[in-house]
Amino acid sequence: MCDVAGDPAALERLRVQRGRLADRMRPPWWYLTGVAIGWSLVFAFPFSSRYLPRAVSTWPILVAAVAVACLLQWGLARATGISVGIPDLTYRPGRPARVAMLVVSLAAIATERFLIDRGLLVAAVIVAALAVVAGVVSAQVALRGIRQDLRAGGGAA
Amino acid sequence: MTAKPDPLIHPITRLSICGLLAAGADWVEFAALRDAAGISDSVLSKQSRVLEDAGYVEVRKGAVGRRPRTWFRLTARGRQAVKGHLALLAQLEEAVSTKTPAPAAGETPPQ
Repeated sequence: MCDVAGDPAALERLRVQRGRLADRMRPPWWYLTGVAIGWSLVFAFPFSSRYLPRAVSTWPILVAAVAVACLLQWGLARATGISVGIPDLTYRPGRPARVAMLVVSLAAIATERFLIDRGLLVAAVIVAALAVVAGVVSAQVALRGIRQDLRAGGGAA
Repeated sequence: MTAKPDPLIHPITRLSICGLLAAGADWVEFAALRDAAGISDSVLSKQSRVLEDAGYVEVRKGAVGRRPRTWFRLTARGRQAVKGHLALLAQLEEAVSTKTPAPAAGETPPQ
């Protein structure tokens, strides 16, 4: 077996291998579509809570959004062979994108409610659509962050 | 991080496996690890078993339909050992690069 002491290029080779691993972390075609569907469910919440009966407006939509998020993570891990778990705000790669999306989500939901209460439905739909686009972009940025982290070795030198 | 050599991760194949598992992913699937490391199925099976026996790597086996799927991840002990070993290699690499000056423009490096 080859010995590291006799192979000064060991670290360089490891960097190349990490690059290959990072390149696998490319989302399949359905991933971003799924992300858009998940965010659509989230930003449909102000509409459903206003126009649907209470029994159907909250929990079914929340459960569906969480189910879509879990399915997407599971499917991405299966398709790429790399699992990063459910990235929360403590997970470093792509964190700025996730924090920004949290702020955008809260602002968008508040704006939608404000517009719906004043009968400006078209404006509320436009805000929801823009927020969904922001969600898809933030997912792409977060994935790019994960790829960069894998390429850099995740802090492991 | 204390730079510390680890004889178990010293061979290049195990260094590749551990270095890839330490790269930031939670779990890495067999085929992804094999392709990234550029090694054969049998080499990965054999070396991962050595690492698993040493408590450096955790193995999870499952199946998708009839196809078996094996996932790997570093244990806390394995992660610590890899970090120490990689820190040592980085120090060695830095020492070599500071000792070897880059050839000046137009100068032919010694053969």
